Amino acid sequence: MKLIYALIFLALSFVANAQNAYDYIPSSAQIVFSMNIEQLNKKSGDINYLKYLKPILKSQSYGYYTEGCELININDALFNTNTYGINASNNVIMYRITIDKTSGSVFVFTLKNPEKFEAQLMAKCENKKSIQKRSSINGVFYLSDKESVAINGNVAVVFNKDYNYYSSASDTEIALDVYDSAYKVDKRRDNYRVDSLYYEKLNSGKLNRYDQVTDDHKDVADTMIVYLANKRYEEKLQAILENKYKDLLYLMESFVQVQVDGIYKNRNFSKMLTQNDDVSIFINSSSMLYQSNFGMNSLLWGSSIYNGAQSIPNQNLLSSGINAFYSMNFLYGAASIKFQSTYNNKAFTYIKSIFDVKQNKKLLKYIDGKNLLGYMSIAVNNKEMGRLYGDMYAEILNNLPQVSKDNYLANIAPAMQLIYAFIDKEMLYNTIDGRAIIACTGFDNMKVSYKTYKYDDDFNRKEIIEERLEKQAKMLAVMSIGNYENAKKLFDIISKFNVFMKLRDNVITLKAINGMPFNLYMVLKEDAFIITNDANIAMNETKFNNINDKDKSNIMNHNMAMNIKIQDAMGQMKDLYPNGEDGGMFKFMESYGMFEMLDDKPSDNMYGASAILRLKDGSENALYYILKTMKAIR
Amino acid sequence: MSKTKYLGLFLFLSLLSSCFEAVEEITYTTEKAGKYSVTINCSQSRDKITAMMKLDTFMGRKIPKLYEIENHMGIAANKLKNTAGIHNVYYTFDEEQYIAIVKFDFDSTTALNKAIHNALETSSDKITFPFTQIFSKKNTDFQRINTPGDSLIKIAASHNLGVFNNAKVTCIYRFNQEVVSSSNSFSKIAQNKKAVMLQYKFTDLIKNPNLFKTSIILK
Repeated sequence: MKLIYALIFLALSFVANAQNAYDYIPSSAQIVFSMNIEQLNKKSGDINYLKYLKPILKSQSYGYYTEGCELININDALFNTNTYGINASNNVIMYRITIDKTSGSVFVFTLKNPEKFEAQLMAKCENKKSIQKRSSINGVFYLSDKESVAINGNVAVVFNKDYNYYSSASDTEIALDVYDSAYKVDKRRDNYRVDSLYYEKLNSGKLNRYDQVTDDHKDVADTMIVYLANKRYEEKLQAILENKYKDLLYLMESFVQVQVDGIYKNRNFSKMLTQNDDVSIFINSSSMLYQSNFGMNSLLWGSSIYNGAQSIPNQNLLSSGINAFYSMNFLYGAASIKFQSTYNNKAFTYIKSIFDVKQNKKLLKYIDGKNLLGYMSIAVNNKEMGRLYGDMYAEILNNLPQVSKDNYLANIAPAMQLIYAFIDKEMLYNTIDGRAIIACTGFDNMKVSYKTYKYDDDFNRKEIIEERLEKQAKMLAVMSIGNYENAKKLFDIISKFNVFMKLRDNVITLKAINGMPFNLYMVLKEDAFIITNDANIAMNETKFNNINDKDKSNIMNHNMAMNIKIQDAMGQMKDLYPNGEDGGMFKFMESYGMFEMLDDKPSDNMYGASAILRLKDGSENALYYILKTMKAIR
Repeated sequence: MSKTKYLGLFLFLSLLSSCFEAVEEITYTTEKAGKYSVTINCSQSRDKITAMMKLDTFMGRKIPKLYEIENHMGIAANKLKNTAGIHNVYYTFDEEQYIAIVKFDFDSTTALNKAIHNALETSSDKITFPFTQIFSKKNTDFQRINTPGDSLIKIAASHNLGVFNNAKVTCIYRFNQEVVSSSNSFSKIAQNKKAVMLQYKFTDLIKNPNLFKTSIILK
């Protein structure tokens, strides 16, 4: 019996879980942005974090749109969940979608009190006529050109439609065109009638009071013509609106239904559901690719593919099923960010070989570990990366819909193959082999030039260029060389450009360019190519062996490793920028400890990385601190 | 753009660039008429400015865009052009070095005073600038009497002056007559005796705008 109860409970909880905002997201959603409002509101304290999300939350391209009605202010709704009857403990979701030629952002809210939510709609609406209210068994709908809302039980969906030039022509204008053209035809016909009347009267010899007769006729006829034209206008406008809102209603009805083939069926997306993250973003890369015709919409402009439906993807492409997932969590004393990318079996074999390489140990000797303030290390196999992109684009081009074969698009694939065949792959992918470290090794006084004035004995002014010492970050980018001979050949060619000056056989410097306040050196070593503003590294055979064990291990054991020692860097930068009376942003920046990002080895068709931002003090939530810093900077 | 933002533009140069150089030059070509030029050179701080220009706001203050600075200069130049007795107005803004120059010719010192007042008025619609006679020239007597825009100076003084330590202001007054004396202790008289130069630290001027006051006696 207990087992039956347990099964019933499990079944019920499954049904209950189905009433999850995620169940309303269609599989074709391009980006899914999810926020736990309750957690974020709590963690952000008294600071409005939503203003920093404006680029995500605002309607797309409607900046100039002032007419009509504000059906709902998303920002307001998110900040005042109680007033809007929104269930803040459930995640609020925003996803981007393109259906045929309509695109936009869809917000999904779960509601505690649907009546409260509905009551808030149109609260700030000045032109209520621009909103059409419809009801059906699928819910209540508020439809408008710009944004539409659907409420079905305890779920509300807000659709912020993107501006579309082709569908934006005003309905009134279209209807008025009908009004004008029909009116002109009627008026012309009536003018003929007036002329006929004149000749009739003239021929009958009864041409007295001609003006009065024609004017009387005109009065009656004009009234009739205008009446008919108005009637046509109203009918046309109604027909346009009916048609338009029929489509919109259909769309909104589909948005507010649990999706049979929803994104929750996506293996990668379901992983996201298992986590209770503060913020998460899911990028459905393959959906974006297909919906934009593999990013070739600009090439396809005017073709039948562009105007027609989306191309049907071949699910066996390298680009099929690629997703990316980011999650962000704000804790006491730290903020963590996770990133994961998922690939299909075919693509994953490429990914594994791209990352099947270790950082070049020889690069470490060029980095002054004692003064290291931050670094980013990357180790990939350039050749394998080139192979992936080459094969991926060849596949995409070969899989464009057949309809394109009859036009110039059919020539793109062979043309690219022809160009690719001429390219020296060894030169392209193995001169710099894909392993590099960018590092900041402290601050140093460097000579910078500036314009000033000097005056002669009679105080005539002359503009001069002077140099002064200024504290600047010592930056270094050191790249591993795969084929030294090729690298030397390229280096010698580059040295001949007149923007460079040769200082040594293996050192060139970029001549002072307007606006560039420091010297930039390029150095070719046996095992590395270095770009730096540090003359000591460039001109001397300086070698180091002082990177600490932890950093060395992170660099050598990860394909991607990043570390910024914020606390140390801020200490050195403090006097470089004005702080204002209250200590400015540095008051907050000094409270950060470090930022670290490390990747994981590719496995289970996934490749990802984790990053953590640590505060010096663990007593405050990282979100509150980040917001305080942003407030101070802005 | 609201006029209040012009004040931001004006303050922008001083607030964001701790090292700047302002040069004011008046060159009398006749006893009454002459040329005026003002240069604000932020070349020394251009890296910091370039970095900050990438932000919309910094420490609560709006960072103007380059086109806004040029627009404002254009508006100020227009005001100058429409001032009676002012000719050949020229302005330029070097976007790489952040050097702004405004030059014009004046028929009389009265026209010069009016022109500076008119240009200053474009900097804010919230602050009123009562007309002040800045310069006076009568025969052999030239004076810098007042500092225009006391309100602006008060605003600048309310900020952390420490960041302006390297900023300097130079005033050069050239005449077609020889200079006999100058009352200001900061004055230097040119070798040809026909010019006076005063160089100040910006922080000193903000603390005591009276340092600007000068009385020059000509032969």
